[in-house]
Amino acid sequence: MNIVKSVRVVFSTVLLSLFSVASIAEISVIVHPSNEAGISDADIKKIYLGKSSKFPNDMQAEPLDQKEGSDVRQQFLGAAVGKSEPQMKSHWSRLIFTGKGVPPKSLDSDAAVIDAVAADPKAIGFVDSSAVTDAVKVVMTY
Amino acid sequence: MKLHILSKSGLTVLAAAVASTASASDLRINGFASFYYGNVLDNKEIPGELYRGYGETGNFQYDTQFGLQFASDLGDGLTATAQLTAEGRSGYDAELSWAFLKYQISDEWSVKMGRQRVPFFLYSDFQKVGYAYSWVTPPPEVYNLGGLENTDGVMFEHLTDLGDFTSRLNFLFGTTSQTTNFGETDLDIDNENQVGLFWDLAYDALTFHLTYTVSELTISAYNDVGNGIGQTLAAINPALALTDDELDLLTVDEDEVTYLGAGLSGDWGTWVAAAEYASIMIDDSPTSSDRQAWYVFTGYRWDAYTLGLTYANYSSLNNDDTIDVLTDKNIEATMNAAAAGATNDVSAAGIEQLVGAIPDIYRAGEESSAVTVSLRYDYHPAAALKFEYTQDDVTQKPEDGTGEREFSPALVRVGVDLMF
Repeated sequence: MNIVKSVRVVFSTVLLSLFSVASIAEISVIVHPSNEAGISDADIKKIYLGKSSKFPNDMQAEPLDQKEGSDVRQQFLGAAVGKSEPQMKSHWSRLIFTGKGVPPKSLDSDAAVIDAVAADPKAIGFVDSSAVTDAVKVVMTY
Repeated sequence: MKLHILSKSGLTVLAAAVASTASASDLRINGFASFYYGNVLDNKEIPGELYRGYGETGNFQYDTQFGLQFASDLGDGLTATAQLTAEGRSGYDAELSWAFLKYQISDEWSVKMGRQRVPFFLYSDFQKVGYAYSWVTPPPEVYNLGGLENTDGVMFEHLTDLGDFTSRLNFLFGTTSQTTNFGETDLDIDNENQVGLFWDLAYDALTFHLTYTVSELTISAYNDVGNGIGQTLAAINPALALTDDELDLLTVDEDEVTYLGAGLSGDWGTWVAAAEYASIMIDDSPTSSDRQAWYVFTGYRWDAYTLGLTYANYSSLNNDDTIDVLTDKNIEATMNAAAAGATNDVSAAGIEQLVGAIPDIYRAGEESSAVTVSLRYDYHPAAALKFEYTQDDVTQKPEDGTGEREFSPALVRVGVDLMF
């Protein structure tokens, strides 16, 4: 019985480490270096769900998305927005077909998001933390 | 036909929208589609009749539909939106369901003018977009409004944050006339001077919805029957002539309609839930003078699956005052006797037709309660596979003693919803 138990413990530890290797990379939410709005978790969620089109300092926000199916997107949606990809799509289908919103523009890579955010004071995006450069400002990590 | 006129005008609007994009702004095209097969199981009680569009022979058409939405940002807060839909239940005739211009007046105020959806209930705005929810269709007990889902008019919207709450108020003024397909008949319906107030309050995972509208409803087919009965009675014997009040109870002629609705929904990620109540009262109307419906829904999500359970209840009773007119004046027996004694074949046939319409129009009360189990599987980023089983218990004409019928159809629907 003890052997069974210890095998289980070892097995689940191995599983756990596999999972952590596979999925845990840090995500950074980034804005233009000139953006002085104090952005909270709740603001990020509201902006990405289309419930708000502004930063807390009333400046217009242009959220940027990443490619559907990408690890960085799945992880960001789960951690910051609290939705899976299909849930996010279903949420936006409600807004699109009522003329209440336009989903965030989708870009192909971390580098493309960083370039776009560095060039636009209204932009907000998310990237793998390892890709962050001095051209952008990190306001939140997940 | 009306639909063809609509689709022609739809093309004109689209052409205009496309032309304007060619010059400057960006045109967004989004689409949705549903492909469903359905089949009624064990419906021995009503052989040959359809339940929610389905019979015992499978059907691929009824809930199959295709929609395209064109939205063009014209700049300075002005957007033009057109939505074309083609539904299997209407023989795939293209219809311009929406065509409106939206203007953002200020941060909080906007206005929409044109043909648009009336936000009666929680899911009304995206009622046709199956991808947006876990049912095949939202509970028809509440959502089936017989063609009055859309209106032509102007709607002001006020959107604001109140602390952690988001409040959206809509004020509508509209007037619409539409042709609706009821079973095998097309009915012309006019819903005029519709004034509506709609309020959504969202807090975190919860959304609360409230609806109040009044309008004036005219259904010409009902009036043909009601007026026909009145004229026939007066011709048989002037003493039988109907008073204005009695005639009012047999017709739907600018009758005041009041819609009330309240709903609450929540989405906590793993669990989703919704409950809604709707009441439609039509003053001095022969039918559905007091229609009430409600449902409760709960769903559980895991991986790419959502399993849902819905209980829905519906009650639309006869108008007692109408039944009193029919019985006090002995209308059916008097008219039957007149038809039997008529020397003229044409008038006998006409009278029989009028009497034959009475059970369908004036004694058409119905009660039902249905349980639905639904399973949604998001097997693709843009497509959801759905399976749904509905077990309904229907009692027709529950108050009429004779002629009461009960049946318990079970409906299975399976299909796919897409958005692109």
